[in-house]
Amino acid sequence: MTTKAVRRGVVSFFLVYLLAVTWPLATLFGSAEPMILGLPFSMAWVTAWILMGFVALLILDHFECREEDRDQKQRGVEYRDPQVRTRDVSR
Amino acid sequence: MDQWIVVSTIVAAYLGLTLWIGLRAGRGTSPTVDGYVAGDRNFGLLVMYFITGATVFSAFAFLGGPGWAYSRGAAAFYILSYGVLGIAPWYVIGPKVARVGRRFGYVTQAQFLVGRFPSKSLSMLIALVSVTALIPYITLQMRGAGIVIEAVTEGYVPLWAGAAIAYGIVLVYVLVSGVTAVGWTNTFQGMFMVIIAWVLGIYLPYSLYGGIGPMFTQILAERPELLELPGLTAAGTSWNWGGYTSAILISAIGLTMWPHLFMKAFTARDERIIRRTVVLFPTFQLFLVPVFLIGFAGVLYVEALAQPDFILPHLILTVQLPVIVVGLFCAGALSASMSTGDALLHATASVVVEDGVRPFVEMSEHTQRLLIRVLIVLAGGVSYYFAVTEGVSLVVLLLTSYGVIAQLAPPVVAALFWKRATTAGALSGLVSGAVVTLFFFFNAELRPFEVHEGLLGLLAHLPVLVLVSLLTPAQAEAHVDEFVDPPPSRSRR
Repeated sequence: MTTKAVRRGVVSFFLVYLLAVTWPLATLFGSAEPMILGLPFSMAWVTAWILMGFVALLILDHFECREEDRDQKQRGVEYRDPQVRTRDVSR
Repeated sequence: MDQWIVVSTIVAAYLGLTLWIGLRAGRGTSPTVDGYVAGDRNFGLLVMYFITGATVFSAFAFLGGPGWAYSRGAAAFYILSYGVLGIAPWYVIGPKVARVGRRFGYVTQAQFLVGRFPSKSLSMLIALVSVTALIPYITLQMRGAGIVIEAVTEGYVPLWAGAAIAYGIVLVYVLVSGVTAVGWTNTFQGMFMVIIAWVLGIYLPYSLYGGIGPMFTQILAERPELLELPGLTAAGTSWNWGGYTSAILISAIGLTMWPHLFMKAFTARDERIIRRTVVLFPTFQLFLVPVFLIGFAGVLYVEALAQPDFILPHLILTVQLPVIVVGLFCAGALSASMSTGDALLHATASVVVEDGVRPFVEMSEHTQRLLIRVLIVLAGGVSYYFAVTEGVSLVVLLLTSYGVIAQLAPPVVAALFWKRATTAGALSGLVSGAVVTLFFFFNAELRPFEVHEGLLGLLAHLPVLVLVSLLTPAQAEAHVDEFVDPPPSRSRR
């Protein structure tokens, strides 16, 4: 799967997200029942979208990081992750 | 010993700890404006994550949110809906802003916008817009802190005193350590908030109703209107979809335009950190779920509270919890308020000095830092005055401010993605948006379908921005490319 396809997918996902939680689509999912995991459906609906949004962003970030690493390798620059401590072996 | 004395001791210990962290944090940054305002651009992921989360989740979420769940039911779900939608664009916009900012040394939003759209008037206007939105936001934090302290001390420490103490502490560490204090105290406070929210959000429904499911089943039986979208108005009548939907839209658009969030792009060590912060942001959204459960727990348990914003502390006190938990909750709620308030105060002062004064008056670095400090005290004073005199709901305060700050979204997007945007377009668009927003704010009855005044402002803003840009000469291509196609920053070794 190309990064470009993933980007398009994620953008489409967020557009759907926007439609799903606002009028008019949200009117279909705004009832109290059925209860999902003890929560009213209206609350479960918006919470589910938060979780899906999280997953979508994770997927996007995975592909973007891979793309960036690939780009930098091509340019001969190595990405030094500030979170990762590495030993400077040139010393 | 009286409960309130023990609670106050726990709270005092917590505040003392926060102050200590805040004061120590200032060591290690350079005594320059860059150091004070942008933390020498050195924050790692952990700190960035908690700054973002803790900054966004404030008294609004901790008190206002449950207050709405308690009094307006499903209307509060707009808060759950806009967060992820609002942060997602920052995945692309944030790193781009950081890249441009690093190249030109920007520390504020206005500097960035004026970089692309050179105009002193624009700088001043942005400062004005920002401060107009920021003051109510600070006010609600102070009020939240005051509410918590008044409630848990059973009135011995009234709202005005509680707010003064909490914000006195914030003022001290922000004045001494600048934005680095904000970073480390937020990390501490953010962790605290999340733990307290989850613990209470699970505990209260179980202890009052026998579980989350049973709680909602009972609410459904007695007050079903609270669980159906779009919920209720403050008066208890049915809210309408126009109001609910536009609240989501304006909040999503405005979320990353808040100066204190936007400016984080200038403090990140690395673009990848900004993106990771965006990816992790939904986890902070999930923290709202137990907080709303607390609000719902109050529905059948507490008779009509005069001020719904008090529901959370009220419940905590009524439910015979061990006193240490009450104290820790209070500390958690204060965390929520202070971790946002400090960032807001800092941002307000920085914006006024950097964007409202410096473009017009020459001054040394030392004078700038001094002036920022003076303004922090001033902004604090003005917000405090409103906090103790105004009785408006916390959520309403913020929702109103969103309409103003969202007016910064079109110029930001235009600066980064539209080559044909011009300074005249940006300026006239912003003026139109601000004027229309203000008009509908003061004439709320004229809003069609109860649509948020900020959204109506954007409906005026966008066409004006586009039309005036197209009617005025284009900017130089080289200049535009610095913003729309910035070269990648060299990674630090």
